[in-house]
Amino acid sequence: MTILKVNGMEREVAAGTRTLLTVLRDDLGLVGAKEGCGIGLCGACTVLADGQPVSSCLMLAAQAAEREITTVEGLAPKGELHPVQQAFVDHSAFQCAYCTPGLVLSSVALLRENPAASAEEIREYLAGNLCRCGSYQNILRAVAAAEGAISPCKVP
Amino acid sequence: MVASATDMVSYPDVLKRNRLDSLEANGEFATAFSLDSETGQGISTPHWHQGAGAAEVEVDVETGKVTVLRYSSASFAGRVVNPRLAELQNDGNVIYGLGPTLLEEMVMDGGQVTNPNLSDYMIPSFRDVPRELRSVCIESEHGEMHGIGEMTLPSVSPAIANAVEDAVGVRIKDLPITAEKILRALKEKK
Repeated sequence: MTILKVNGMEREVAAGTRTLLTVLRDDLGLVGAKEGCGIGLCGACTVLADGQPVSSCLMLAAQAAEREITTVEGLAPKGELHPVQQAFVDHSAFQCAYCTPGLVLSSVALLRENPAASAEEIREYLAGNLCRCGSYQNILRAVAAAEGAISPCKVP
Repeated sequence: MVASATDMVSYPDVLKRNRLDSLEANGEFATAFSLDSETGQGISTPHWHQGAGAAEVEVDVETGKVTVLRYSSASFAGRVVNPRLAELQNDGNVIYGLGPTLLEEMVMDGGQVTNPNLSDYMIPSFRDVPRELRSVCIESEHGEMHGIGEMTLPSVSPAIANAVEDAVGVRIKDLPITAEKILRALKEKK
């Protein structure tokens, strides 16, 4: 059995050879992270590991043991929205929302690293999160609007 | 039986007289359309949507790469209920359309798709979005509310192909409009 630290809580899971994405979804019921491609190219499975965006479909659950994992469910207390989530809502930055959890987490990481990111920097940083519905323009507006709402922190 | 303005019965009276709780009516609007099964020609749908698009592109004549600088789309929207979502959907259609136009190609070998992954089959990312992207929903006073659908999608490929032709004088007639096709066409033109 492996102890995972997810959203501030310790959870014991039978990691086996399964990916972090599978364990988050099947064992822990955290279904925000989605499998879009399964090979780390679409960003729908993005979670934060020690604040860094990672493709959870490429990380073994066993590898995640020593890291602090944050999923979209852990961004704010129940019933509240993280400023980035609120910005996404305010700017209608999604259509089907399949990409949204991954994009929200990548945006949180971006703004912590670079609180005054330019539009160009936002586009570049989020290029690894694909949105088939094409909501990129509103996503850009939402992330730009959320600037200043995040306290920057050093990403290890 | 012909009704007249003076010869009217109120709805409650109709119900009362006929001992009904409610009155239902059914109607049908039927249009005819058919495609010739041999030639595939004819009217393919009774139901048309109108959309348009305009593109400004930049073509690098050394690499053949096409960059869409600006894109503007319009659709006939009848009566818009949610302007923000209507615009988002129109813009989303255009961004989707950049895929088949410039990026997406299923490569087949003996009936097998050889690029069934997002590394070899590219779909538009943040970096492919035109710097200027806008859309207009055209409403009509007498318009009905109906779905926006994908009205701004079909014009994406032709608009970009036309813009490429205008920019560098080559007409690419099959999709996607890749750098290789443009370079080949430019070479043949010389």
